[in-house]
Amino acid sequence: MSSEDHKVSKITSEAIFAVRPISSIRFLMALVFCLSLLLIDIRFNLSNEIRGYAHDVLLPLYKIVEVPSQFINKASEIRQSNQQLKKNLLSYKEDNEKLKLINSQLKDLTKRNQELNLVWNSAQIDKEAYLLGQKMNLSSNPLKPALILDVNDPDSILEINQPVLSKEGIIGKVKSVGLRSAEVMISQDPQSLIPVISSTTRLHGILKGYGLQRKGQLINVKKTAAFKEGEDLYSSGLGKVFPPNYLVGRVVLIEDRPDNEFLNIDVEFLDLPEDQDYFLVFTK
Amino acid sequence: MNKGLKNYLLISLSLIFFILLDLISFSLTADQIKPSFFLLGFIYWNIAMPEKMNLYFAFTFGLLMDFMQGTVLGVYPLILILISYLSQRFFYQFRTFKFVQQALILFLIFLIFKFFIALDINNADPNSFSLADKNYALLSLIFALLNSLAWAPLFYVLRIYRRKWIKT
Repeated sequence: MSSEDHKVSKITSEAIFAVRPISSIRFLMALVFCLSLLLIDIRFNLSNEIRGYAHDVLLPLYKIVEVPSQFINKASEIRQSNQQLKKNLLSYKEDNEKLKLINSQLKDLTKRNQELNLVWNSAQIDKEAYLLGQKMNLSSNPLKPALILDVNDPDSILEINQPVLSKEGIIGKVKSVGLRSAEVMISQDPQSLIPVISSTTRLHGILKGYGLQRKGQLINVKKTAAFKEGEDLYSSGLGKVFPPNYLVGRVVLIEDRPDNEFLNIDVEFLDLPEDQDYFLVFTK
Repeated sequence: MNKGLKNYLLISLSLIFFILLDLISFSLTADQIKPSFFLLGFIYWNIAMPEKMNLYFAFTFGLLMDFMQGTVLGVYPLILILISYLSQRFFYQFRTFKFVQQALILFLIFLIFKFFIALDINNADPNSFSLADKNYALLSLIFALLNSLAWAPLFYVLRIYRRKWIKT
């Protein structure tokens, strides 16, 4: 019988029973070390200082992951006929016209609402105040959603706590900064708190996240507060982290539970940045 | 190249490949239930070549996962060290099990993993010890089930890879 026929010889040349597992002492030491690291990070948030740089190092991995989807997108684009593209172009032109019309209406509205200074502020767009960031990765952990952005920031004006906006409104704030990467804490994150003001009742509140695909809640709202279901919530600007008058979410449910000393107000956040590739970081 | 170093590199390469696979994003729900090839691969290497998998592996890859997943630093190293220890402590027994039995054990491991990840260690919600809800529990069950189903094919693929490339 040749050695090729001997199956066991293919698996390993060592006797498996000679292998010693990790010693209990080393395991316990490693466990204590990890627990210490965990406690230090919870207490001092030390990892926020290095996460951005870690993402700089991991950037090539994020780029590699995008290659298959980019290839598929390119292939499907090529397959699209010219006619289809022309049709798309026409519909976009139509949309553009509609948007222009809406924009002109908004301008008219802002003039009328100068006293409230609500829409006016949001229309005053200072292009220098925004940095464009490309989405690199969105962590799959729904309870700790972290968005990684690749930001071209030659002047190094990117800082921790700067708000991040999608085309609709606020989606989070910068948690950690690297050389060209930024980790964003999304507004759905259980640690996220955003001061908001309601659109119709003009009441203030603090919006707290509870994780991806979950509703947020306005916390510590007195039972006498007159929030209405369906009204939009805008950033109030209190706390000086988020700029005022940006859309954050919408009130979807108000419950007055007898076992709770506060109102239970559920809020639906803006659509998630799943299919959006670019975001704006507000730097002023 | 040194045979030992080459083996370490090949194992690391396979784990990095699995990390890349795990990073591919679909929909939000699909991302929550898709199998974690990295963890499965990590368990495989601990069972197949315990002498090659040390705690440094667990710690380094754990930190990498912490950065990628946005979790508090130390959560993934802790999980991987635990998995590494348990796998190496019981790999004699585990190797002799049938695939169904192995899948059942992995189902429990992945279910515990999901609920461990959901622990509210930052105290974001003072009223609750865990951030898991009914929907999360359901998705965790599906995640654990899919991982246990993915174990057998992954086992065979990695066994072919090991026999072809990794010389002991």
